[in-house]
Amino acid sequence: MNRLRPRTVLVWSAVSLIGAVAWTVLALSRGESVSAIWIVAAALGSYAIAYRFYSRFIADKVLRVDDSRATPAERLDNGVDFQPTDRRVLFGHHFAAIAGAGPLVGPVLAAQMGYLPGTIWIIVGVIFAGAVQDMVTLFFSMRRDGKSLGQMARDEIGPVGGAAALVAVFSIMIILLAVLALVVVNALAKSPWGTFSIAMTIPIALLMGFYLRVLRPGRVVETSVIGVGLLLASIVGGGLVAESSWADTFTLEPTTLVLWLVGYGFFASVLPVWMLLAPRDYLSTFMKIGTIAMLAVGVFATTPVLRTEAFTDFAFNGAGPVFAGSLFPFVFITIACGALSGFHALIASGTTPKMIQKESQIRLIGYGAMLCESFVAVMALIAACALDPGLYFAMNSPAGVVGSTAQSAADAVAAMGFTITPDQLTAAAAAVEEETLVSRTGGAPTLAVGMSEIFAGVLGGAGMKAFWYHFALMFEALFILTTVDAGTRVGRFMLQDTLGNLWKPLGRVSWKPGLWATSAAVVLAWGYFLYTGVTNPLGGINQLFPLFGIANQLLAAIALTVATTLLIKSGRAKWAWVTGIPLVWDVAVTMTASWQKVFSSDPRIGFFAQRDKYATSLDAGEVLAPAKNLDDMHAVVTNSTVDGVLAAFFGLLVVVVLLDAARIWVKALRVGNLPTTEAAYVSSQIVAPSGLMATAEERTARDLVDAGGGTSH
Amino acid sequence: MVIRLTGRAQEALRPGEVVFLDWHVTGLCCADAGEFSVRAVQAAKLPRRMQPVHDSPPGSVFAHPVGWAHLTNRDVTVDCRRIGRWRRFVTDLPTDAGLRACLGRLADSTAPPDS
Repeated sequence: MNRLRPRTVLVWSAVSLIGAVAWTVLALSRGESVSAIWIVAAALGSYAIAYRFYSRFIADKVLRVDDSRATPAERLDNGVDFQPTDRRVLFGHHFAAIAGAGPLVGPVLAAQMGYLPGTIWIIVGVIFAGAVQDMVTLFFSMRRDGKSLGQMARDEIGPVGGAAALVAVFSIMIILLAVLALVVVNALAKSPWGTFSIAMTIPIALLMGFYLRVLRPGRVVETSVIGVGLLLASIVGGGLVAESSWADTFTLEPTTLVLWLVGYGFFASVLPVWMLLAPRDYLSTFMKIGTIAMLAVGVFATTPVLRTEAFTDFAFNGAGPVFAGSLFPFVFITIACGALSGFHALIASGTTPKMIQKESQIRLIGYGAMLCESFVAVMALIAACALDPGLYFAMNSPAGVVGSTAQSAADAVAAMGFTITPDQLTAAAAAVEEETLVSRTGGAPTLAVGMSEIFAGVLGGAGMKAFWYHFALMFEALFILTTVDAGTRVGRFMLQDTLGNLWKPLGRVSWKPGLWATSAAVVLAWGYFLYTGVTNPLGGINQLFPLFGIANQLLAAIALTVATTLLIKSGRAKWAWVTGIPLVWDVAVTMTASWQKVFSSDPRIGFFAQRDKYATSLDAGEVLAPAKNLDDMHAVVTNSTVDGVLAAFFGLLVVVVLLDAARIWVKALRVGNLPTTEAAYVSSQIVAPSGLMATAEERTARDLVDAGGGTSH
Repeated sequence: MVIRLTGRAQEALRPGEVVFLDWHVTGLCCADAGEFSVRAVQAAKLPRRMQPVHDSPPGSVFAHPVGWAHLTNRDVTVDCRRIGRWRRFVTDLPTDAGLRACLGRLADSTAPPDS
């Protein structure tokens, strides 16, 4: 490693100092007004240090990346089939692929515990766990011709671990779809503006599909411009509809929205790709990149003041209305994707490793892109924490806690120790042209209000708040709808493959009845959880979101287990702590959360304690609030039982994967190392920079290759 | 890997057209997957980053680079079904081929034309 020059030492000392000062301000401020800029400074300073030093340590010492070794993209490059992708383009691909709606919702919900727990976990978690997982998974997949996480689990751990990983992915899909669909339902319920705008995205996408396929084939840019124009028009049109006689038509009850979403999920998953999925991709890509960029610009331009406390009492007493349970483990379960996401391992082991130019670029693409993702989560947290806490809790508490009127919500929020008047709640709803903001749980409406405050501060002022609110809702909903569609398709083929072993025709992927039947089965499975979430008297999000978080972190545990196994098997056992420590932490979090959700005697946390409490009252013929009748009581008993079984099942899957992997670890440690499925060494002919900017040495090397007529990209 | 056009697909192509294997991103929580589609487009109107691939007959097929990366060691046949004047290009990739590829389960499938 090169010795550091004085100028470099000076620069990094300054970066460290800025980060340290920002952390100190955040740590010591209690009761004072704190600007969000301190969170931004703490995040950027920490990311810079982590990227410069920790990611380099992992790349050089732990993984021993070797730029003389050809990557899959180069090995398979015959000038036609494969071409290694420029690192800057691939960074964009990879970041766009991991930056979805997930990291935006989790931090908003975690804000119930104050701004500090979420900030610490998003930043520290990404540095030591999330970015490490993405980078190490990318490395090992790259060394195996881009094998997927599931394939690596099967090959490197064994069939039991592989099967457990497969079952985990299927189960996660069902809960994921139910939770994300619930977020959409809660955002659109009784909101004619939102419902109209989101509903219009479907005919717009179909029109684009028809336009691109039949009317003007190949005119992607032209079609996208038309689609985006119609999308913005539908947001404006939603406002007009809400004030017209059509408002009643688009004012839907949550249970009605569930039926629409279930129907949408089924049809979207069986329609041809070109009809709905392809044109919606053009729309959602524009919305994703545009909105994330606008949020970043907005946060920097307005530097909002954090209005919530560093820690609320809910961080310690576990009695939060948004989700029950104390800081450990539930803040980590709730934030999920913004700090550590198992889903990223699917990208790091699927697409990106097949396109990368040089091994050393895993730092920029694997570690760097995840740092950017974490920064998106930080901005979502800021948007939530910049809201009045009274408004935040009025919006995010279930109806059973805050009632349905501004007065009842103001009273309930006051009982929690926060203040908001009924007039303020009514005014907040009027500003975004909603009938009410009371009990708009799920995170999306809160994020939309926070984003509308920030966007309006930059563009359009208070008069544009309603537009920005619905723009933000559409942004969230578009992503979630793509997940509903894609997740149903994933669940469908997994079910087809499994059931095909029992009855051959179901395994034939082109057999339409089998396709429809398995699609319907998957839709009904997530639809069941969605329906129970919507109708559960205890609230839906606070019951299901912890299950989603546990499932997501379970997938991360599988990815970290595979990475740790590969470090040990490949003779890097002394560095196994790099993925081992985040794995231990993740398992501790996941298992503690599963354990508490199954065995806690507190009915607010433990599903079975909740079941017992309501079953006992039901036997005595009593109705416990917030249940209003015996049917509600039955619903709570059934839902709690199903949720409890699922929480136990997720915990069990973690144990199975870990035990299976531990068997391999012991075996490998005894003999020093074990054979792996790493591809054979092939010498690289490519000269390409490692980082975003080429160093002087890299430019010289490239010039030499160019002068000699060698291969370069 | 080679993408082959059937006789019907070759006949269906108009002058200046090529078959384009596109890739459409779909979200899976905080990770993107994707799905393939195939259509005919004028070669002159293809974005620059869409690359020519090993094909038969040569020069008749282009592919989205991300989608193409998922087809390692896999031959694909493109056919065309006509409904009146409307041409529908199809591949022999199984249903959900893109999602299967992203999750490492494409190789397990040996399905007849369906895409």
